[in-house]
Amino acid sequence: MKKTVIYTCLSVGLLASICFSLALGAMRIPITEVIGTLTHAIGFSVFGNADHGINEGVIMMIRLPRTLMGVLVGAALGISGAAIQGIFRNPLAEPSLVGISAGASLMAVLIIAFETLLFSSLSQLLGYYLLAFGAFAGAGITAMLVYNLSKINGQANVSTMLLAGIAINAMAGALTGLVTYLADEQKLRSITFWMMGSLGGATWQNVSCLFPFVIIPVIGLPFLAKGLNLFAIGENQVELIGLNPNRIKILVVVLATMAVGASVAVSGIIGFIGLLIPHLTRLLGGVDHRFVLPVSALIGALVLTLADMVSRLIVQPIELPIGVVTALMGTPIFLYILIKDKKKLVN
Amino acid sequence: MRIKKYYIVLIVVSYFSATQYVVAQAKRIITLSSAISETVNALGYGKNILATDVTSVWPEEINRLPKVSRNRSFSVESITAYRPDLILVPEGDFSKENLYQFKSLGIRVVTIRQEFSVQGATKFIRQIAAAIGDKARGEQLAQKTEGNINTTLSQLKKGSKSPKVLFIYARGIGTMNVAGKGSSIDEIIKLAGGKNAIQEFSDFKPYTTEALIKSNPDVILMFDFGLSSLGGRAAFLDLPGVSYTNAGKNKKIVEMNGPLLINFSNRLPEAIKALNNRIL
Repeated sequence: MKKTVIYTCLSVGLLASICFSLALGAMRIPITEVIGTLTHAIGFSVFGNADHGINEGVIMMIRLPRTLMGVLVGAALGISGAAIQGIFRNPLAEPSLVGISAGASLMAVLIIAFETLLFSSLSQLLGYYLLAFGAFAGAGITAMLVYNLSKINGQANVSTMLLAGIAINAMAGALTGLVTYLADEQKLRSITFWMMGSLGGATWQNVSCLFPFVIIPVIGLPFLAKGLNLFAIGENQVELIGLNPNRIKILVVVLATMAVGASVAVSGIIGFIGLLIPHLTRLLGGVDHRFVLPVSALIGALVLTLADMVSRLIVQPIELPIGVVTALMGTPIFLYILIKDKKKLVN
Repeated sequence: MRIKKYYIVLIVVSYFSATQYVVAQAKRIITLSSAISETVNALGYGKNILATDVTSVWPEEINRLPKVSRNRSFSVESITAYRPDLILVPEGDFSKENLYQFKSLGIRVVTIRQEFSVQGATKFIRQIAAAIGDKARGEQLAQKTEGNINTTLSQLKKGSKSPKVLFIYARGIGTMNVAGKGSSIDEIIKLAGGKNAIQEFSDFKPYTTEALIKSNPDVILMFDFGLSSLGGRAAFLDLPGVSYTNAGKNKKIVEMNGPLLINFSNRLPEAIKALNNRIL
């Protein structure tokens, strides 16, 4: 019952934030015209037809892809954060903390820097896929590396994992810094973009490229929820009921890194979502992964849509990097959860 | 029936070819670098500029305009909100995605490539005038600028030998870069009768104390805001290593207005003259 209420509230909230995101922006477009344009695009006609002018262009070519990208990236980061925390059995395991995002962005930076050297004849679309795939590979390699480094007697050790994550973050940072010395000014700018995170470059092209990379994990990961629940008790529990723990591990890592890698490839590193959203979800409705995974995707999408709205609206006419907004919004909430849990431990 | 079909095709084709080749004069312009804003203004289209980037601070009527881009960060929608019919942007400042976004909105974007030379300056002016749709005035301004440059160059002060000039781009201690070969600064130093102290590398690279002492410049050149970011002239002379150079010994620290120094367009003659006056 409670779960149904949560699902309904979140879905309504997500829909509402999508509507606001489409309606608000630097261009003052009356809400009736926004609705008119959108309904016209799907074949209905409300409030008369769209004007086919610049307003329609802004809604259909700028705001809609950008909002969709926010929803996809938010869902991707939320659900992968939850899944990775599950597999590592650690609430601090977050894509950017354990170095997965850094691995993804390092790979992306390398591809940008050496693009003209290695693949001079890449078409634009293939270039997007190459970046997404490269970021995915970078994310996967780091995830595997961190996991194996932190394993002691078959158990993932928490502090080793975090330290390995810090080491990999530092290494990726250093290598990225090194590449920036080799890159020319133009490439430097795309590289800075990866480090800061932004949804400003959203076009139908890269949104459609991102779509499969996110939708497969978002649908696939909840099927592994039962296995992740058993993981929480211990790996041998998984074997006891006849599931293969290694297969679950590999599937989770592949799906989660797929989503994170592709998200990083189109929007750069957006921190804190992957760490914070699963915590928020557990606060709402407990630790069952059958609940945590889908709801993390929902809340992730909701929060990132809102964060992007803030980044677009508060310092007009320019925009704030979205990573700044998510960290500003996320840190106080995270500290609150920390303090609250501390009290629980004392009692 | 068949004739009607051809007729429609004909109309469509002629409509598109007409819009393709007749570029109407731009009425609502956004300019995204100081040199572009100054050039558009000098061409007499200053009142058609709706908004600029944060570096466009000269002259005052341009400075008063809204700034829609800051360190090349901007929002496509904010720029679109001004309903421009032309955006002039330095080559490379818009990503592929941004160019695609503006294209799908039907807003004309012209990327301007700037070459740092006398020829580059006149080419720059002509390019911008062509984009605005007033080649005649572009030709006029280009020729006037070229004439002024030639006059300026023939009247330059000449020293016994050309001084070695080191340019430091500073944004506070810790973020200091020096200009190497091929940069805009390298070219303006040469035009003003100096010699760039850095010949080992191209573009801008971080500053080190040892490199400063090794290059031993006669003059240290900085943007005015660069020198003030280091705490002014006296504080700069106290930085480690500065006193070991000729420039430090003779207190030859020159500051110049940034947008003027790297304008490389209609204000190039003015920049050459000012720099020449200060380094010699």
